[in-house]
Amino acid sequence: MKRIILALFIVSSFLVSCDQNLDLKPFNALETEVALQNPSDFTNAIRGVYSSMRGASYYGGWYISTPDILADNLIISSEGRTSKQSIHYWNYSGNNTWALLWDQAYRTIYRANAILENLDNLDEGAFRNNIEGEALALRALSHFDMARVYTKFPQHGAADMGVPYVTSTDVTLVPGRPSVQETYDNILNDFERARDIIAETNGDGRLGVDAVNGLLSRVYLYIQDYDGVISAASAALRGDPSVGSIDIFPGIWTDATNEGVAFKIRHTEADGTAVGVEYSQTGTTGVRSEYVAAYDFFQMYQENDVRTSTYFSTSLFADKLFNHIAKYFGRETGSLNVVDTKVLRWAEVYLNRAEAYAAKGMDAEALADLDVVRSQRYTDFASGNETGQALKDAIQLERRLELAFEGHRFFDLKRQGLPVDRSSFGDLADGTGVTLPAEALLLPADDPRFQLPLPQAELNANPNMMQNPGY
Amino acid sequence: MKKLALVLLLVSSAVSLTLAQRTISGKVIDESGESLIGATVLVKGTTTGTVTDIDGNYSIRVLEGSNTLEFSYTGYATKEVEIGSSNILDVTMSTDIAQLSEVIVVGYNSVKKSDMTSSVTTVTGEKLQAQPIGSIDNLLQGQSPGLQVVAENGRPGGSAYIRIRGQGSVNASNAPLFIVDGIQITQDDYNAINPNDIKEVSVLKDAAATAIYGSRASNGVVLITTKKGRRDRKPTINYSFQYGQKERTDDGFDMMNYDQKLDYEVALGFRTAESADALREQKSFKETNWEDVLLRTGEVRSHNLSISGGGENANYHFSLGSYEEQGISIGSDFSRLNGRFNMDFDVTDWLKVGNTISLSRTEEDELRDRYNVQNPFVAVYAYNAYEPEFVYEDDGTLRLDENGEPVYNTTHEGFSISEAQRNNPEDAVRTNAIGNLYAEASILDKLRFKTQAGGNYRIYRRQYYIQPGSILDGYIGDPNAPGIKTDNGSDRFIFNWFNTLTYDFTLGGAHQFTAMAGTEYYKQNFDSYQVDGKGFPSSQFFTQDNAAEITGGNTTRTQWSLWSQFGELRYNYNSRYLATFSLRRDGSSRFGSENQFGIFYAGSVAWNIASEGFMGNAGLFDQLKLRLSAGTSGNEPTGLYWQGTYGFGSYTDRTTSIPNQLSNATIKWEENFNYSVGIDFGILNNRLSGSIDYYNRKTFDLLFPEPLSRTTGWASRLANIGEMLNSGIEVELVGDVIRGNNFSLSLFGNLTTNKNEITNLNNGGEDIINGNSGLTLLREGLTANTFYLVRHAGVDPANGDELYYDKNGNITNVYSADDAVALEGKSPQPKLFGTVGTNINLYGIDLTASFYYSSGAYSLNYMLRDNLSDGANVNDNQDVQALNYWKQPGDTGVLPAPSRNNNTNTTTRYLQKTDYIRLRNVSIGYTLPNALTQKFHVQNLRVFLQGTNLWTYNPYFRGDPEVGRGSEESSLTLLGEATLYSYPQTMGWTFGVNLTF
Repeated sequence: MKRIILALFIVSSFLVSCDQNLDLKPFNALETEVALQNPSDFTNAIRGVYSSMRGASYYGGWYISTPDILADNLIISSEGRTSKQSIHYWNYSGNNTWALLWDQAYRTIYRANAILENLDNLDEGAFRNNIEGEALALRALSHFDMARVYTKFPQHGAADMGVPYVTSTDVTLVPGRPSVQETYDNILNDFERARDIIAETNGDGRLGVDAVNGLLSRVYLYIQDYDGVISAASAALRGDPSVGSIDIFPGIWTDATNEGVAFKIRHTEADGTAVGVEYSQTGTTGVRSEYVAAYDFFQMYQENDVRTSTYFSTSLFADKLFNHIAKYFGRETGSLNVVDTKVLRWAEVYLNRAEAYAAKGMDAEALADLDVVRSQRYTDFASGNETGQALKDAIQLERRLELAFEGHRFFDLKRQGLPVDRSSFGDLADGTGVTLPAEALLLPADDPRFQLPLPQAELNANPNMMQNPGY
Repeated sequence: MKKLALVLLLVSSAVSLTLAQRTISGKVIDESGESLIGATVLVKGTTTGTVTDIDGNYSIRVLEGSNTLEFSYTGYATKEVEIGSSNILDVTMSTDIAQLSEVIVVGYNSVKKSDMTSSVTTVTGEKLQAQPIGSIDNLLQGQSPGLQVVAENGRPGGSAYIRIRGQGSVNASNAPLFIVDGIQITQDDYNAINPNDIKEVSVLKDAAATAIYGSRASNGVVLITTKKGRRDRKPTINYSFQYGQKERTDDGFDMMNYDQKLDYEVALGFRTAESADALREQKSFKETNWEDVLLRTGEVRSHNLSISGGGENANYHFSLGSYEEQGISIGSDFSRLNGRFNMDFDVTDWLKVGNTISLSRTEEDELRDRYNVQNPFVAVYAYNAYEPEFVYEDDGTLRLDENGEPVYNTTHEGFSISEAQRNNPEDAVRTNAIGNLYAEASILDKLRFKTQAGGNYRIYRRQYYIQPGSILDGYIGDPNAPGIKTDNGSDRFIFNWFNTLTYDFTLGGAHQFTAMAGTEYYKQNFDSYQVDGKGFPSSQFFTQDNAAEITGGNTTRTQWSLWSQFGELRYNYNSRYLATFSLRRDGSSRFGSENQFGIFYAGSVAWNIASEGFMGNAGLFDQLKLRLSAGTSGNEPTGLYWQGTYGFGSYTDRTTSIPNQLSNATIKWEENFNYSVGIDFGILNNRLSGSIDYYNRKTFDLLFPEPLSRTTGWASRLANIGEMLNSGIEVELVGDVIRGNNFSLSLFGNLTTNKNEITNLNNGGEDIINGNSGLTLLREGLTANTFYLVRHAGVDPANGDELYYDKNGNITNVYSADDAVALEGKSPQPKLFGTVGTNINLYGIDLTASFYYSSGAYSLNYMLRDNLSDGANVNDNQDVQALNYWKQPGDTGVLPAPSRNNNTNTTTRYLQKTDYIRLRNVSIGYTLPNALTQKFHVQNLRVFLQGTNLWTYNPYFRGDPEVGRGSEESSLTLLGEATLYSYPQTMGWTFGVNLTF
């Protein structure tokens, strides 16, 4: 009897089929085929595009420091960790470049394209248009952010190599390099289409129509289409937004206010993205900077400039006095160095338009825009009433002072065909200390190193890709 | 039959009573001191004999004139001992690796070694127990030909890379399947197993042996069998203790001292002469030897106690063990507590049940394995001799904080690792329960059924505490809520259940068959959690209920499962012609429906030539067997899910959905086709025995994350990219040079050659460059992971520039990553490796020495690059060779002119050969005479002294040549690819005692 029971047991154990237990699905993810079906899926997905921009080599870090490190606003601290030293010294190669921007920007683009390819799952209408507008604008911005790092501007070589403009989620594509002109045409197309269909506003940390126009004004300025700048900037500034009044200006950098901020990438406490680590870490022994203010640049800030105390902090580290960059020290409460990335501020848009007006000889309009900014930065402000070249210089100066350490300076020099000409002062607050090696003092105007090398990993994987000349 | 033989023996001994005789008595024990029951004792040249009793004692009457006794026992070398004047003759028998009648575990069955048709090496547990190493995988080094074992690094309790017959995969796992008593364990579990519990390890190498494990077996299978008690045996109690010390092996670098470094910095314009002079005045109190500060002598202590035995219907083995190892730097300790209970019980004459259960708890401190001074093994090189551990005032007094404690110096790196080792503790606790329950029934005479349910349950708990007030807290913490704590952990349950039905039958008298069919179900559930908090009142409080704010947390869950059917047929004709065929069908949840099932098969034949009549009785060969085998096995992708998915995250504290995996619906199993030919032989009365195998292992549908153009938004996608071939020869030899009762000497050695080649790439033969490190590539016709580097071309004597070869072989002073070329013949894979050693026994003294050697592999020495950085790392300490740089035109034999503006470009300058011969293990032991120990009721007492890695011949590599993992946190984990400050290898000695009651 017992053996019969056993035999039955055996037979049944062999017959049990466990095939159905092989169809296991992840607990923390949705299958791609069903991921973009209804409006809330698209809202989640569009936020996912922004979250890609939080990458450490993008707006989560490098983009707020590297263009300044490449230029003349900063000097490497002899008490730092030598982070990005080869970038600072223009001593880069395919194996040692601003490599992950390429990855993180194209990842952002993939996410935008995945949304655009599935738009048909949404009903026609405002919701769909807005999603499409945001996706297009983010796709354009990501391409633009790469183009200004890796390629020339059209005015210096429209036929030179641009960056591939990717509009598909097909991962088998191995694109070659289109012309710079083609890249910029696509950037403008996407931005302009986005401008036409995006909503007025999408809330904190997302793009609305004014911010898209503001970004568009930047693109036009970079390619020296001054009419384009004026029209886009004017659209962006239709409500005369504040540039951040002088009283609350410091609050912009602690996220106490959004005044003056057109578009930011948000970093919550939970995200913990410590963007300020790009510049320094503060510990028990004081502020330890990677990069400190270049002595000659620091001298350009006047006593009555609210930015002097907002942007800088002068303190001892290792018994040496440094001018540290204080813009990203963090919020009033919460983890150190965690603070939102200000991608676009209204002050820049005013200055974009001022520069365009000045270029077209419309000095009065240019001065008015310049003074919108200046009047809120200097106590007891009195306009210089500059004209002509003096006005142009004043605009450039104000732009440099206002947008320092936000990732602009290198591009502002590059787009104007200017060299990076650094001083030979040392890294300490009084201009003494360790100076730069001779090779790191001047990057001549037409130097190929204005176009950073593409990451070697891309060249390794893509036979159609060409490296920039000089690497 | 046995009883009959015994009766005959007794009768025959009675017959000889009439002649002049005397009685010889004694005890027969094995090497570990256990008495051997039922060992046969025979007067040589006669039929007079007896067997030992339950205590191993015997007594035999011998005729005057008989002068030799012959002792034999299954699994042990037959021993002849001359009868002297004494009437007491104790004998220690040693296990015989060439002994052919032993039974070894292969797959779901056991087979007599002489009937094996495939390539399997067995290692007895005794060989794994003397070395002070916490993880079983590391203990297997050198124990089998074809088995390459390289420690990941020297971390206490750390794991190893194991490659059986070469690297079979380029990306999917290369690690063999580990099975303990039928239960699969994973790499995290290796250090949870007590080596003292191991009876035997079988290393299954060819497809014929592994195919029965199907889709998990392409990298070979390591089967571990734990000890069981013997029936009809009174309890044997065994206790052993070991104590040892360890230190870092020679690191190959000689770092600059106080003055050298200051001179160097001044010469490079990094420091002014005045500043250097000021520091020189402070030398008396600032000079620091960072090795002394950061490294220490490690210690190992272990205790093991076991009781085993059995009655008529049952047998048991019970053991307790503890192992404690203190690492060579603070914060890297490992300890383990083990308990095991194995038993088998005959419920009825047809039903047997049993279990193996082990419980263990391991505790590990974890140091960061990263590329900055948060890792002490970076700091020991980076910190300068003029930077003291603590802050001093200019007058040389120690600066004290408000509590009167010295203030740690954060150095030029801004971080004090010695402070962090104390104030940022990281530790992990694993509790493992590994066990099975089985029932085996004889349904009919020749039909057996076995069902076994096994479980491997692990609870993992880790905490990392950045204590309030610590330096790291200052950098990354919240000043208003000091202290950051992370608690995370997981709960993993592996369940497997298999059933086998075995039928033995005979056709035509001599044709014996064994047929087996089975099913197996495997499922793994894994759940994890994490909690982050900040704001702790003081370092004393570390649990999250003390946190001011819980800042983050999550839980995750994954599963995977495998469902299989398998069958095996064995054929045996007089143990002369042997054949085995096996088949397995596996279904895995890791594949899409198109390729969910894989079928694997193997066949093997063997011919015992020595037992052929034509070999005669007086032949040269005591054993001679020819084996042939061929078959397939599979490998799964490392990822658990194949679906293309969107995962979820947050932006502005709201939900995001993000594409996080591309679909792998079309991915196929990676498959191996293996064939091998082997000969086992024994000559001169088995004085020389060994085996030679040729193997050829072709891997199809290699799984590899094929690099994608990153413009797609992805770096890679898993694909079946091509084919690879491993082939080579394995030789194992054992020679008993002297066989005597009081003096024996044997030599042993093994050798493996391996040639690895990528034979086909599906992308049309385009190179695939390792997307992770960029250091190596896959190219048709070359070894997998051949180095791909820019070639260093020396130093320009005219100006001191470093020179490179461009792609076309022209010399240039411009470094371009694009000039990297494949360096044929240079890869991290050795071409030849193995072991040689000796065992000597002399009047109770035993000496064992084994050397491990490896040849033909290269490794990129990133540490050399950092320590000779040509000025790029001038703020870090440098090797004294860095002083020998170009100073004026015409200088040759020098390093490039240093400048802070230099980059540390990766070139062949840092690619070095890692050939070495290492005295892996040497031990000398003394077994006290039985006569003495028995007075204290001790059966056996042995003391020994053992040394690990005491000597190394390393002609090329700067640093320890046994390169495992470069750096875990830099994802530099390809075996032997590079060195980047992972935990150093260690050397040391151990003292031990073994006691058997």
